[in-house]
Parts: sequence; structure tokens; C-alpha cells
Amino acid sequence: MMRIFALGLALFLVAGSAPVRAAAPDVDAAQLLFESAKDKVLKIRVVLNATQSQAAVGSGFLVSGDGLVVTNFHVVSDFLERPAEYTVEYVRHDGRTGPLRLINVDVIHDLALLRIRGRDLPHFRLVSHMLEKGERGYSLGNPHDLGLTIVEGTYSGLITESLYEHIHFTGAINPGMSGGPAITRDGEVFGVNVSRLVEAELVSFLVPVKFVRELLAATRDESATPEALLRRARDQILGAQNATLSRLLAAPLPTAALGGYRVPASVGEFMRCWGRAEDEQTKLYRASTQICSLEDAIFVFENVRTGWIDFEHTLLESRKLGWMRFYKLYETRFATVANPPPGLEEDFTEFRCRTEFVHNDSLMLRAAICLRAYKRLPGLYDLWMRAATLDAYDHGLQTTLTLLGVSFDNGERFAQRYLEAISRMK
Amino acid sequence: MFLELLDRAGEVRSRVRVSGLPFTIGRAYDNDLILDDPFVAPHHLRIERRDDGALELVDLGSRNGLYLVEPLQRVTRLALGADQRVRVGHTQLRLREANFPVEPEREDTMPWFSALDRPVFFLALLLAAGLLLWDAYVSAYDESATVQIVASVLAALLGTLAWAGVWAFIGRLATHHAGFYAHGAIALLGMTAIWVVYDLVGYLEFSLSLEDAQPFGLAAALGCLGAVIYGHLRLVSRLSARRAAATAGTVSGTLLGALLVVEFVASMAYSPDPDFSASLKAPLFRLSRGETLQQFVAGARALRVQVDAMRDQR
Repeated sequence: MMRIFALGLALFLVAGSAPVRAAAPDVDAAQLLFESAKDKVLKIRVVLNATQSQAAVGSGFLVSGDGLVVTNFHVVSDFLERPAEYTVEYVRHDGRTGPLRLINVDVIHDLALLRIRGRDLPHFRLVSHMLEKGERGYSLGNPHDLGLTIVEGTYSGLITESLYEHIHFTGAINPGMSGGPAITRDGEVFGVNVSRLVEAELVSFLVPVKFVRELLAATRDESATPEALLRRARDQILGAQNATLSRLLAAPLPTAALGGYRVPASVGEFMRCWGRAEDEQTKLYRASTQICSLEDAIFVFENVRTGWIDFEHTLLESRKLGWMRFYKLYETRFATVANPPPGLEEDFTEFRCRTEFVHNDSLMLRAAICLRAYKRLPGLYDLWMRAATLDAYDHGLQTTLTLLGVSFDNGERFAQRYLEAISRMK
Repeated sequence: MFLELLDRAGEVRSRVRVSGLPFTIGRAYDNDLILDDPFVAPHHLRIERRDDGALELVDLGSRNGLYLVEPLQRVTRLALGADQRVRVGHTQLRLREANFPVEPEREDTMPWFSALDRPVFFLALLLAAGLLLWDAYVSAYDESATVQIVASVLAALLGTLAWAGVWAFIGRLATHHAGFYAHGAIALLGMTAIWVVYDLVGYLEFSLSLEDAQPFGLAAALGCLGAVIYGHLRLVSRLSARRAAATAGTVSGTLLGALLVVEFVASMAYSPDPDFSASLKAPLFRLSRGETLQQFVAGARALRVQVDAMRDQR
């Protein structure tokens, strides 16, 4: 899933892909809605103070007459990352501009609340009823900084296999529309544009409006500094991860069979698993891989996505390899880290690892556990662990756990539970 | 009596018998010894016998003068002692009497490995080829890998033989003796030793569950390289065993130092990849007892202390 995030006008490619629609009455409806909504939608710019150039562009919308504005967290994350270097400002449809003050965030659902000065401003009402699947919706925003547009689409229900609820919207949401509202035929907001599936047509996602309502309700004090808001975001990540992991840790991890082993498998319906086999006739071994991941990455900063949980198991079986050859292969596979968690020096410390022989009830393993800290979000860690079974001479299981954005205690507990769950089948 | 021309290192470059006195030295052709040194005067020096019978070196009024070498000082006349060195222009001279005591003859000790010949060479070749073949075979998991295996083994062997060939060529120039088989045997055995040592360190890292044994492997491999260079040096020169060992030690020590510096610099650069001990061998090589799950996971607390310190360092 890729977040909408427009940096200047570099992405013209996608801009031409809007759907062609024919029905004449709808054009009129969209036209009327656009007229009534255009003064309630803002373009939001994050400006780099040093050069007065815009670092990020998104959309936002007014939800109260006294100037409360909703947008996505990821639209303003640059500012939160370096509050001294950036300024957030709005541009209205008629060209008027002004400063925006960030007053609250919900990093989990990718929402931010800002305030502009004003009184009796035109604003949206939030929808109070549930939408029906197939109901028409209109998304507003500023795609690729090309000016305010309205896009027609369909409400396609809630994504339930996801950890954090999203609305599936069938419509062309493009970079730059992030933070814009999705409204009903009556002009009431039912979602906030957030992302779309790349390599797909018109599969877009909205943040359900109930989280906007919760954010509004949770905003009592508007004096929080950007530093305090960043700490709040960190606490939200820790809280959400704690809730997720507590659910996962409430019972022993469910396992699945892989060769003669049992391995940690899909936990609940919000984790997806994929299988892959390497079984070419010319190879002297067979490899079967199972990957389960919880893909609800939380956007924190441009290069920091967190909340990712990933299990990867590879069963290696010798077809015609003697044990010396098999273990050479086994070692090469163990040493190769194909997808290490990405990260930059400004965001993360390096990983520190320790490697040991570990025995659980049924198996001897060679295991490496690695840890790194988030530099700007103290208390948050990424844990990476890889283990290989050492119980046979012609087959073995190698497994990798990636746990991004957890508290140390949760990471430790989960790592132990994970290793406990690996066993030899009786 | 002999007059010796020395080079900068103090080695004799040429030697003339002082047949009669007085004996003149200079750049002009009417001298007894002609020096092709532009910093020497046409008539620079004369050796004469003083009235009391002692030999004396006299500066004939040259611009650049006559210098005693130790201690360095300019002189116009110099009574010659037993083993004295002087400098005129850029030339060093030494005067020695015919009865000057010389060192006793040195025993001709060519190192034992200079006798290595065809049988040892072919044995070493067989051993190296065998090990390389085994290594390539063990690391290939494809049914059609035979060609690659053979090609990689051939490349490694030819490389080693080319190295030995270079040494043999140097030997041919320096001592008029190529000794290719001896050089070849040394190079092949050395390469085999480096390979074995490196592999052994990998096994050690696994067996004893060491976190990172790579620096030891590097040091051991460079020790082998030092021994190889020592062998080659002894064969191509008349260096004494001590001098050859010192040179070989310096070369491999410098190489080790350089590699460690490179490693250190690389470790200073930020890398997002987890860097763990990836040595993984068959279960029978495990010597370390291992930890329980609780111990292992609790061990991560030390990692937390480390990364917290790295985070707070700024």
C-alpha cells in the first residue's frame, strides 16, 4: 500500500488516469457539490523555511466554523519531524493563504488536526449514518498540485482484514489529494482520502469519519508543542502495538505445518500469508517459503514506516545433496538477508545482534536476535530475529521474524513466544 | 693497498689497487683514478706518504672539498687510518690495506625448501586442486554446475601458478636461478593453508558460538601469506633468514593493518542491515551447549543498552 504523498509535480504519469464517465445527471450533481464544497477544502503546503519552497502538498477540509481543519498525518509529518525548519500553510480555492497551526495528531489512522484563524467559516458536516456498499461518493482534493478537483467513486465497504479500519473506495485518488474529504451526495464527509493501491486501478482507501470524530473529541488542549505532539504520536504507536501484541500474545501463537515442522502462522484475519516454492528440476534441493505479514504499516516520517510484523519460514530439503553440501547451502541461505528492514541513519541506530544456540522443548536452533532504536521516538525499537533448526542433515527450517515499532518488553515477549512456537512434528 | 668506490648503501661498487705514490684522484684523464662525478674537481685529491711514513689524503684546492664521513667534517688534509671513509663530490671512497682482516667465509645455507622439486610441486598441485574442487563442488547446488566448478578451479590454480612464475622470473634475474617448482610448491601450499585456516575459523566461530571470529581468520590467513612471502624472498635473494622474515612480516603486517583499517572505516559508515554471526555448520560440529529460550531472549537486554546508548549519543 502506498501513501499518497506528492512532492512537487514530479508525478504527472498517474494524473491522466481519471475514469471516463458518461451519465449526464451525475455530472450535474458533481458540479453542484463542487460549488458548495470548494470553499471548505484547502490546499495544505509544508514549506521549507530556508528556501521558501514547498516540501509537501496535500489537501484538508474545514470541520468547524471556528477554523478546525482535518488532513492526513503524512501530509504534515515533515513539519513534525523538524518543526524549526518547516512551516505549514493553507491555500484556499480563491487563492487566499495563511498559516496553519498543528494542534493534534492520530498517527495510527493517519489524521492530523490543524487550526486556522477565522469565524463563521464555511465547513463540512460529518455524516451520521452508515453508507451502503455501492453508494456513490465524491472525493475532493488537489491531485499533483493541479488545482482542486472532484472525483466520483463508489463506497465499497470497510476493509475488515486490516488491523486499522479503512474504507475501500473505488475511485481515482491521486497523490496530493491526501487529507481531502470524501463526501456523500448530500455533501457530508464520510471519509478522508489517504491512500491507494499501486499497480491497481481505482482501488483507493479512506479513513472512516468516526476516527475524525474521535480525534475532535480527544482534542481539549490546543497548546501542545510539536515536540509534545511527536511524543503523543510515539505513545499512540506504542499503544496500538501493545494492543495488537497483547491480542497476539493472549494465547500461544497459532501454528501451521511446514515439512516436518510446525511454525508460527497467520494470527487472526489481519495477517496475510503467502507461499512460494523453489522446485526446479535442475536444483539439487527444494525450498518452500511461507510468509505471513501484518501489512498495516504506520506512516511516521518519509522514511519511517512502522508497525510491520512479518514471519518468514523457509524449509530447505536436500534432493541429492550430501550433508556437507547441504549445510553449505544452509549456511549461505542463513547468511543472506534478502529484505532487511529499511532505514536511514537519521531515523534509526544500527542493529546490534547476538547469536547463540538456543533450545526450546523440541529443537536445537542457531538464532540471531537484533535490535535497533528509533532515534526520534525514544522507547520504540525494531526487532529482527533469524533462526535455523539444527536437527537433521538433509533438511532444515530457517525462520525470520521482523517486528517493527515495538516497546522492548513486547518485543522480548513476542520473540520468546515465536521461538516457543517452532517445533518438530510428532 | 686498495681504494674502494662505495655506493649510497656502503656497498663496494668498484675497487682499484693503489700501485704507487703519490696517487691522484679527479675528473681529468691524467689522474690515477678518474671519477665521473660532476661535483669532483679535475684534480681533486692526492694520496702521499708523509715524511714520518704515514699516508695522507690532501685536498688540492677543490671547490667542493674533502669530507670525512664519520664524523662528517670538512678537512684539507687527512691522515688515513685503517678503515676510513671520505666523500668527494657525491662519491664515497674507502682506503684499505692489503692486510685488512676480512670476515671468515659464510656457510652456504640455502633454505631447505630451495630443494623442493617436481615431486613436491605436483603433490602440492594435486592437494590444492583437490581442495578447490571439493570447495567448488560443495558450494554448487545445480546439476549442470560441472563446467563452472572446473572453470573456477582452473582459474584459481592458474592464478597461483602465475604468481609463482613471477617469483621465478625475479629469481632468474637476481640469482640466475628460476626455481619455478620450489616457488610453485610454496605458493600452492600457502594458498591451501590460507583456505584451510579461513574455513577452520568459520567452524570455530560456529562450534564455540563466537560472535565474530573474522578478524582472527584474517590474521591467520595473513600469517600464512607472510610465510609464503618469506619463502619466495629466501629463494630469490641472498637475504639472511632474519632479514627475509622481517621483510615478510612487515609486508603481511602492513596488509593486515590496512585491512583492519578498511574494516574499521566500513564499520563506521552507517548500515541498516543486521550484522550477525552467520556461520552455520552441521550439528555435529556444535560444542557450545546453548541457552534456553529465556536466557537467549533476556540476552537482548544487553543489546537494548547498546542501542539506547547509540540513540542518546547525539
